[in-house]
Amino acid sequence: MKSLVCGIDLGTTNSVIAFLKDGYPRAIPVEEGSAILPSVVSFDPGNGSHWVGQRARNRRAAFPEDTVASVKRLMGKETLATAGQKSFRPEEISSYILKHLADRASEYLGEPIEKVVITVPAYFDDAQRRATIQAGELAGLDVVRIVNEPTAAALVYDHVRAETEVESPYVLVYDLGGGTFDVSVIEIKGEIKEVLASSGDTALGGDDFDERLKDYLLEELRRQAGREDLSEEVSLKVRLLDIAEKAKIALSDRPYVEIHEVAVAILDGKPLNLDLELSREQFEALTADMVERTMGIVEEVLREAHLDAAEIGKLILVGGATRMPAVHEALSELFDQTVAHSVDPDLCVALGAAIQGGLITGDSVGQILLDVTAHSLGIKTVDERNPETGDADHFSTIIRRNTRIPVSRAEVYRTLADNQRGVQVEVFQGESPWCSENAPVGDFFFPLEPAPAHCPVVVEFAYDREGLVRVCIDQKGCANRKEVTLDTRQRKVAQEADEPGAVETPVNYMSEKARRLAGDPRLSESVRREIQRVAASYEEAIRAGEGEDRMDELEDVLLEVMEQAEEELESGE
Amino acid sequence: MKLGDFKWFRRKRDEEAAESRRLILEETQSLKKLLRKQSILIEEVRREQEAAAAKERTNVEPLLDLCDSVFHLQRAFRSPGLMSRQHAQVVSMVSKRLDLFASYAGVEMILEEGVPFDPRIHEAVSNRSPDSPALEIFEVIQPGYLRDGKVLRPAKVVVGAATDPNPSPKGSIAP
Repeated sequence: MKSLVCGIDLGTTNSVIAFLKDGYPRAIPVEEGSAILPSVVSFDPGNGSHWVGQRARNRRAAFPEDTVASVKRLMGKETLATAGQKSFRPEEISSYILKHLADRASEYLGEPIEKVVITVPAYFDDAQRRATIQAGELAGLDVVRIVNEPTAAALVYDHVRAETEVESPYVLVYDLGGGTFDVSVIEIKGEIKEVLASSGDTALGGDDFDERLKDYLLEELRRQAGREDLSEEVSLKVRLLDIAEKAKIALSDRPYVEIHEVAVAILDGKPLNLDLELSREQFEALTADMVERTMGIVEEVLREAHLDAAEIGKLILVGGATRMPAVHEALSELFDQTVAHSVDPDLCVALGAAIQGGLITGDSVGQILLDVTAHSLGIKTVDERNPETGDADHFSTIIRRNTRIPVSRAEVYRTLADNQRGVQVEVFQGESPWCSENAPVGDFFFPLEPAPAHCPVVVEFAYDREGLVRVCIDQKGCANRKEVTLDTRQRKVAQEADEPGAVETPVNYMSEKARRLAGDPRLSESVRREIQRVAASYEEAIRAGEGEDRMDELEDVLLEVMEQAEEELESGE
Repeated sequence: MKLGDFKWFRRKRDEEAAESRRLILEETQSLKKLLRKQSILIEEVRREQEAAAAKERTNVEPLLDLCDSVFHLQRAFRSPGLMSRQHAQVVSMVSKRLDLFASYAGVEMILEEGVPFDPRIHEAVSNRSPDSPALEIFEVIQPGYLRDGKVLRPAKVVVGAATDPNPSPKGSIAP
């Protein structure tokens, strides 16, 4: 039996372990159902036991002397990490994290984990890489390979089906994690991926954006209370940081967030409430300098790689903080292209490491099918007119292509005239900047309450796996809302109609798997056609509610052709 | 034994061996199919469980926000003399109704003070007795939540030295 090689993203703030199953990389839930493990270790000097992950992080403020976090920063250095009365080499602390991940993965998979691929930042020197291998060995693991984090991320996108082929071999990986920022340029030469240049800022991450917003909220509270002496006591700081983080996340999807938080502080026995509306524009203005700082580093890395922005073929986003639209916009502006963001940015590096593990053991890696939007979705606006017809024709994108679904996104638009009677909401899907070149999804009229020109109207799209888009339109400040559901599949886009099975969703996991195999270019045309044919009969029979015997028979045939296909993939013929 | 008998036995043996091989092959194929089906089924179940877990997690978020608000509302009126006894009763009753409602969704709030610090369900934000090894919850700043035994969010707490180093469990049952 072939042994499994798991992929581990051993991060500064968080770590993730993943494995390859049926050619598809998956992150393993390791703690309370979550795949993300805080990279923190806490010791109990009394009995010598230790905690790893969220529990260790939860102990940090209570037992700061006994808790070690961000040990990755010390890897390969002589500095020791102290916990209680004891000193540890950084690789010892890392080994606890690795062991915890491997043990949890072992429990989940029901087999021992012995071999792993571990990722490290591209800038890690030889000593730091050796220390990482030692950490693995101390954890009782065989580190079969060390992979650069940006390389792992690029490896995932190599296998994402929705991604379009690009000619340029240069990929830029922008990694904005909780506490660190890294950017790398990679050159892809066939199977080899070489890091051409890499830089970063070890003191910049998503937490800094939360902190900035927290400071703003504190100022706002001081203003509301008329008390400059409002101190930043622990409970207030904790509440405000929580509120800031939630607001930041909400603003990634919508243009405004309403904050109604009761009693964030008690002042002279009276509650001090936080009741305000925050716009994405305000948040972006507050944090613009940090995004600019990252873009400065991006330009520095491009110079170091002797490349122009135009030469970059693909942009890949890694790290939870890259969900902020300001990051997408800044990158799109500099590179004049869309950004690859369809794989979960928190898990991307570990998934890439799992793919690398699979490649080492000779497993075939299939094309990763993601639940993403096949086309951009948006509405018609009058921002630009069609030069030929003179009609309003601008396609304003609300949900970009390749966004993971289900998804909800909102944008704010403004009325043109005083007391405008209403707006015709016309929804389109496609990639052209002109609506006339995209496919119409549906339209409806939304009557407006009398209001001066430039009155904000928020349009929200919620798109689900069934291809339904719920359009919610809200005239701000007027209690005027309307919701309409449109079916994006009713009017098919030309390209989709030619794809087999693109219109109907798979009936179950077997048909989904069959479709994945039928779309695998490594299989011979005849095998793919056969799978398509059998899968179509199988799906049709399920939809028609055929009897059990007939279903068993079809299921057997489908399993057989799928088995043949997998054998063909394994043998590499 | 005649030569004809020997040939007959040999033919018979070969036929039986061929039949056995055919049966073994059939059984092997059938077993392989069953194994394949089983692995597909296990995978499907796992995916469904993961999807259900993710869905459950998403759906309770607004409920947790509401629980947070009621918790802070209660805290705001905690200072003595701020409310009449009846007003305090109103707030307490609303809070209890919300607890009950949350329990229908399998959600349990973590907000008990005076209990030993448990890093599984409590996240310490401050320690008033840094030198003490045994800590208990002095103050809950932000409630935590459990759902069906799993921690959705740990409670954010201020900890301090436990008054009794060996506190007896509440509601203990005699052996």
